[in-house]
Amino acid sequence: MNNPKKSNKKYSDSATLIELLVCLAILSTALYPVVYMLQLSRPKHPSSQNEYLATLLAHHATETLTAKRALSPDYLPEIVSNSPVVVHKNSATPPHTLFDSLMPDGSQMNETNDSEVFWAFKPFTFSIDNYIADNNFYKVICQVNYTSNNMKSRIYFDKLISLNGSGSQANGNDSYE
Amino acid sequence: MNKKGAFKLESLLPITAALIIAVTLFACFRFYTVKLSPVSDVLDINAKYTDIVLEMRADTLITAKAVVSENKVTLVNANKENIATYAITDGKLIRTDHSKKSEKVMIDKLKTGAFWTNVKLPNLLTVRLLPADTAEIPFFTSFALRGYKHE
Repeated sequence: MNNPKKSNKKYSDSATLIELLVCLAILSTALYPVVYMLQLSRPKHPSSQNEYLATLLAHHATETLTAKRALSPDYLPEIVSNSPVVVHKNSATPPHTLFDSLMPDGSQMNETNDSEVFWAFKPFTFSIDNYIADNNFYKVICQVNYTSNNMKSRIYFDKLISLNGSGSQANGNDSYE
Repeated sequence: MNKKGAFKLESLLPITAALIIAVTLFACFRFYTVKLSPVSDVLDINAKYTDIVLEMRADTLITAKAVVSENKVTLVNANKENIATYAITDGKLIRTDHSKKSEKVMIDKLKTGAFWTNVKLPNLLTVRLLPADTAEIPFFTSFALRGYKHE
C-alpha cells in the first residue's frame, strides 16, 4: 500500500539528489580555474637548466674516459672530490684531467678562451670515484655537483670498465639530493 | 502534490552525470597540456638538445673518423663511408643522413657552433652550440668515436 507521507519524502529526497548533482557539476566546472591556479603556482623548473648542463658535463666526462681508454687501455682516472670543471682564478684546485681538453687546442677552459661557456660551467664541480666491482671490472662513478635553490644536487653517470681490455659497458644514471 | 520541477528526474540524471564526467575529463586534459611559456621554452630546448645527443651518440658508435671543417663535421665509418654530416648553416644545425639521403634541422636560432677533435684526443669529438637567445643554456659535450682506429 502507498503511504502518501512516504511518497512525499521520496520526492523530497529526489530533489536533494538533483541539487547534489548540480552542485557537483558546478564544482567540476570550478575545477578548471583551480587546476589553472595550480599550474601557475608550480615551480618553473628553475633547476632544469642546471640539471641539463650537469648531464652534458657528466656525459662529456664518461665519453672522455672512453676515448682516453681507447688510446691508453691502462688509463684509470684519479679519484677527486669537488674539483672545478673550468679554471677558476681564485681556485687552487685545477680541473680534473677528464676536463683537460675542453678547448680545440687541447687546453683547459678559462674565463678568456671561452667566456660564454665558462660562466655557464663555473657553478659546477666534479667528483669521481672508482672501485673494483668484480674481479674483472672497475666501476667508475662520474658525478657533477651543483647547487639549486640552496640545495645540493648532483648528476652521476657510472661506467663499468673491463680490466682485461676487452671493452667496457656504460650505464647512465642520475640521482638528485 | 507539489510539482518539483520542469524536468523529470530520469532526464536530468544522465545529463548531469555526463556534464560532470566531461568537465572532469577536460580539466584533467588541460592539467597535462597547459604549458606556461617559460617552462615550455626550457623543456623545448632540452628536448632539442636531447635529440642531438641521441643522434650523435648513435652515429659516433660506428664512427672511425670525424672530418672536421669550419662549422661542419662529417662522420665516416671504418669502410670510409659517410655516416652523417652535421653542419651549421644560417643559425641552424642540420643533420644529413647519407644512407637515407635525408636532412633534418636539429635546432635553429643558433648564434655560433663548432665541432672539433684535438691532438691529445683525436677520437673525441666535442660539440659546442651557442643559442642566439643568451638566456638559454649552451650545448657543450663530447662523443667518443668508438670505431676509431690508430693510423
